[in-house]
Amino acid sequence: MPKKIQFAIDNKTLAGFIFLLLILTGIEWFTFRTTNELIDNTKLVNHTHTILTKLELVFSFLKDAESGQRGYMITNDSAYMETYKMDNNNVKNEIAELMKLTGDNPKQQQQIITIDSLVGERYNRMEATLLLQKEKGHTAMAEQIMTREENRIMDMIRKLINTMKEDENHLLTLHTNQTDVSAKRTIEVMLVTGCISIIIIFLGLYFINRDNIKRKIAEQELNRFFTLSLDMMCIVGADGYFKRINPAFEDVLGYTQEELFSRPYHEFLHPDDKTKTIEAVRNMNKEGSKLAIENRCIRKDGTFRWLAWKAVPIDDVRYASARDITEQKMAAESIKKMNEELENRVELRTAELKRSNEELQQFAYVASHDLQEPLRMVASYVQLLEKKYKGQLDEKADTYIGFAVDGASRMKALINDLLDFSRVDSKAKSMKPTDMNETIEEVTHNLKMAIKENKASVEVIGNLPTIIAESIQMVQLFQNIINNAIKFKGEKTPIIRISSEELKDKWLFTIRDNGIGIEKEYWDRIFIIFQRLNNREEYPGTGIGLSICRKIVERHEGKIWLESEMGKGTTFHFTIHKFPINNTSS
Amino acid sequence: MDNETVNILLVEDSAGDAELTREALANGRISHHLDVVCDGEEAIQFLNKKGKYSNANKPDLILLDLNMPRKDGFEVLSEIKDNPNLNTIPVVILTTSNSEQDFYRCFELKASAFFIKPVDLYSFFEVINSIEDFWFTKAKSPSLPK
Repeated sequence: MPKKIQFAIDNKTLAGFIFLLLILTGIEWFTFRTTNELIDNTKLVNHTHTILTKLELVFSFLKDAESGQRGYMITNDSAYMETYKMDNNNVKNEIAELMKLTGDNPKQQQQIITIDSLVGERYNRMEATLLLQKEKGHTAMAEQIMTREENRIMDMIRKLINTMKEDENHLLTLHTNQTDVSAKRTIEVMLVTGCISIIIIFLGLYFINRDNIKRKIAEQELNRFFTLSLDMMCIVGADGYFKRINPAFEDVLGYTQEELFSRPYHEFLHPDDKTKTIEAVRNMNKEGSKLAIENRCIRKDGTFRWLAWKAVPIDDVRYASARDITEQKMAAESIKKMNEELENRVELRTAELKRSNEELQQFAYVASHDLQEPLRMVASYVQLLEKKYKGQLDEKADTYIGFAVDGASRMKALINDLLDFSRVDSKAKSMKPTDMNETIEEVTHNLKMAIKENKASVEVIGNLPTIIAESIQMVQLFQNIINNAIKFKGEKTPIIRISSEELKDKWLFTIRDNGIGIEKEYWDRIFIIFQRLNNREEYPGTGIGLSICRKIVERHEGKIWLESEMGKGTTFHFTIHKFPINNTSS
Repeated sequence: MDNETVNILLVEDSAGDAELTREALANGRISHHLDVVCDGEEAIQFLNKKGKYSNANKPDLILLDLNMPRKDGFEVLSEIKDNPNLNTIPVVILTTSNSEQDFYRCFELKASAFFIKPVDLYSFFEVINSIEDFWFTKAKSPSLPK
């Protein structure tokens, strides 16, 4: 993957840098301009000096030319003639140069032109004098000289040159002053810009330093976070070696940093977790997704620790952190073990309970069945005794016989009910679709006598459903409840209303009577075996009937409960599951 | 033996029950002669007039208990029904067992009736009366022309 060029400068720094650059450019430009001005002014000064020199030279050459002429005229030596000619030429040259130099100054040009013409006139005169001496002799020449015309021209030239020099000197003063000003300004500008630069440099230094300190602090914080973290943190390279690890690694695994760097990460993994971890890391690299995995790492001492890893791949490296979850794992493990143990125990216990329950049922059945035999003997012979010998013995004997007969018949009822109770499960038959309307018909038929005697009315509200149940037990259930409703009637003639309701996964049946009612504290207790609420003389019974009801309902995965108001009546509710597990009809 | 007297064989191991049956029959309407044997082995000997029963009468009706030592009611019943000399004798099962299984097994073995001994004396008397009725209606068959 090609590496992108990265700028580590933030916008603020960049803006500062550009600002600095602008200021420095400004300073540079300003310095350049003032320096240039200084140079220009210096050039002007030099220029003026050159002109002044040239002017001096012109005058000097003029004088030299005159000296040459005079010398020649006196000595007739041609060497003077040479000097004369040369100096005249020099004068011409210098004037030509001056013309060039003062190109920017029309006034000076004008004066030079005047000087030039005066120089020309003087030259003509000197030539004429030379000719005069040649042709007319020395006296004529002397006369000519004595006219002092040449001196007059020379004076005019001197005056003009002086004027020019004055002008130039004036200019010189001006330029020198300007140069001074420029130089001063340049120095000032340099000082100011230098100061500004220094300030900027210091400001820059300050800001850079401040940023650096901030960065350093941040770095330190990050480092501290890295080194002080109790979680393990690492960077793993593409080669699978650790590139950076924090001290937590050493603490947890017991290896030194060097040892950890010396081998690829997977060599520290538990052999059983190696494959899954390598596979997961490969997937992470391939999909660039985050990774969360739990595995075991081997410590230097050979033991292992459970670690919960989180990792993310960026470019070629993986950033990972891990937490030591050994304690939690162990705790979970031991909880799991304890749970299993508990479950086993519960299972064992359930099996034991089931067995003992079955044994108890068997016992109840056998006991009640076998009890019937001796009971039959007792009851029958007491009755036979009563039948055959009543009136032949005294009154007390008759009473005793009466108690014995009563006791035997109660025991008979008890045994029969107990038998019924134990048969709810042991003699259970398969469940079939049972029309509850038919069930009620059968019940009213069975209770015909009791209903007639008590003028009771049994009403079915609406149509009852056909449910999956054991029909004999449904008869038993309704018969017990309806029988109770008649038995525990109040002052009024008993009215019993039966209704049903379809719930989500069960049927709800309700049997409402207008009997004596049951006190609230007995609403639950009444379903417990042998619980009786009324005295035996008034309401005979074994106290098993409703426990049989509960057992039947529970066998059909339902619940039975009641509501009652003393003197107004009792309402029994029970539910039957729509598809009881014991159902074998399907 | 005159035709009016019915010979009844009671196979019953419980002396109490035997006595009750005797009482019930005595209380009943028909004139009868009752023989009592106390187990299945004895019953077979009696029916085959073996040993001490060489002078025994052939019963017109057998009342048979099921639970007995040595040879139980089912064995006795099946031997009677397998014996061409005896298989016309009606056999009424009189037992304490109320097991459906026993009930069906007895009818498979061609028992004539099946009664459960009631706990109550008067119910017991009723049962015996109904056996008498049964005998009058069913047993007054062409085999016993009056």
